[in-house]
Amino acid sequence: MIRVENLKKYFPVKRTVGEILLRVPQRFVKAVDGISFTISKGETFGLVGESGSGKTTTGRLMLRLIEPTAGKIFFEDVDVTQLSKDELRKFRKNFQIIFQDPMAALNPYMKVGEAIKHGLEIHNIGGSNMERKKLVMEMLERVNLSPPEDFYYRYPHEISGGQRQRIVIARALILKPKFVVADEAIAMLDVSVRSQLLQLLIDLKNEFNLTFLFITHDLATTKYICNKIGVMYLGKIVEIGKFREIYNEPLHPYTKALISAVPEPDPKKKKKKLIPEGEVPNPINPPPGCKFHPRCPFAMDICKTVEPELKEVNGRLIACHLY
Amino acid sequence: MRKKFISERLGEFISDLFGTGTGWLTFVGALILIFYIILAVFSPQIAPYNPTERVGRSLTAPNDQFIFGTDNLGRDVLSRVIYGARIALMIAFIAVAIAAGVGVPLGLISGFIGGPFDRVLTLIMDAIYSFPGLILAIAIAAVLGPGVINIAVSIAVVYTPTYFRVIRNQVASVKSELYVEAARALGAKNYEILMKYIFPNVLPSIVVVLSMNLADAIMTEAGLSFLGLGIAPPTPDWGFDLSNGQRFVLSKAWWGLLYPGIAIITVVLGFSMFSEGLNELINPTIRERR
Repeated sequence: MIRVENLKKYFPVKRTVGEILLRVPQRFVKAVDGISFTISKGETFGLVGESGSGKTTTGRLMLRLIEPTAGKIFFEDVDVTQLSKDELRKFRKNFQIIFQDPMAALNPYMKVGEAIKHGLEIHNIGGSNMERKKLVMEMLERVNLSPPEDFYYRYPHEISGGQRQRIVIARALILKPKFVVADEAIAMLDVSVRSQLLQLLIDLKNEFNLTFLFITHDLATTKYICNKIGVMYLGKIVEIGKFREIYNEPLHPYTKALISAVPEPDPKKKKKKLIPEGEVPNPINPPPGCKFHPRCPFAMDICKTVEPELKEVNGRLIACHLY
Repeated sequence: MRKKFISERLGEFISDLFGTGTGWLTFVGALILIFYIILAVFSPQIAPYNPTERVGRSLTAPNDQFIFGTDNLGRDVLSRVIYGARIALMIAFIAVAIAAGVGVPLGLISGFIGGPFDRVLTLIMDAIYSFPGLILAIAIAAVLGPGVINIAVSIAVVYTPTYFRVIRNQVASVKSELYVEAARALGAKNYEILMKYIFPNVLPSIVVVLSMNLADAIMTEAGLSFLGLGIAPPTPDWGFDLSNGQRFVLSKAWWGLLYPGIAIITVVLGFSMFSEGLNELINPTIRERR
């Protein structure tokens, strides 16, 4: 249903006046550097990686909240990158986003009910104001904010973080989108609320038959919701495959490291931890060859010069010279 | 949660208001303003004499007949102070309305669009802003000549950049907020984003500037008339009376100077207190933090 082809986003680095005068070439942060993947209908695709790996940028690019530098995004055979401003605006009811920070994602001067209703008004769903209000009330009830009358007229600062995130979810889903990007949707919430919201997302996904792009740095949560995951490192996808397979047998050294870092609930089971050394390299000046080689325990000579392409290994795609 | 009666909510709101100093500040400010607005609206009914006619001997000291005394032409100072409120408030309101009416939309658009348009507009506004306020007003008033609207316009020119700058900077920061991006993700049009998401978030800062500018505008107006650039003479005007009164202070006629001066001070004080209080009341997030 969704096909991303060679998507790129380069952010130019601001040059100082001195650098412009000295003709220092314009440098770019390659936030997303040529990624491709597909998400089938009803699937939940988990995009995982460290902070700074370009996950969030990918999510925003897919909704065209920021313009890609290059690449194509097909949504049911419509190339989203080619839509005009007005077409895109109308098309937006097909895909929605749930943001990470529920406080910042809601207008502090708008009652939460109105915030949800605004989407209906924009896309002219439900004929009258009364009808729209009824739809909002139903949606509030659906995200377990009941009685809905109590919440409709409140301002965002009057409700808790978990409730706000439910509002954000309601606002995204009331348009009955087909595709939803959940950008670290539960990362900022209390642990106790997190599992409830994760369950809510799973329920809503089944109910509305949604396709999800689930962006997270926390592999443990992908376990509950994702069918397929893609692992990102410095703007590149290093491994894509079925969740079970990758989780049980990670092949790329970076994926191995990520999975070994997932906390084990059973303290008796000792896991070998493979935490990569050092920090994520500066994306303005990434290492040549495989971007992971300075931190990779299995690095070979070829890794330092040749950048590995994604290739199929055991039914999944991996970008590594080991295979 | 239990449903609350309206009266109960109102009671809570009022006790909230007066539980802090802010409530009192606003309340006293509002009282002063209401007092002057009543004076301005009902001046023909309140004033004991016609303010432009000779009703007694020149420079009569305050007595039972003329509570505030009379000026050098034998006009009743009390009546002139009362009628003066009319001119002062009218010019202040018109001036601020023009300034806000021009500055706010320009600031909204400029901040939202950004780019070269924003730069040019900011440059122009900064150029206006760099003039000392009163001097610029004097220059414009001198060109335009006397008259209520002309004075209001010359004051408005001085204050337009204030609105522009406050709004533009706020818009520029608010437009990168996540909820604006969320609105865009919903498919909202640009003007909807501007009006529904950005404008309410910058509105509190306008209200404060608005009421502070009203105080400033009254002072500027008084300053202009003091210098003889305001309303044509027989019309009662605090600034003009002040300058007229100071000529006779040496003849021990202190009343001609004192009462218009007190009027200016109190009305400006009233506006300042009111704006200060309003600032905190109108902003729900500030109130919530207390």
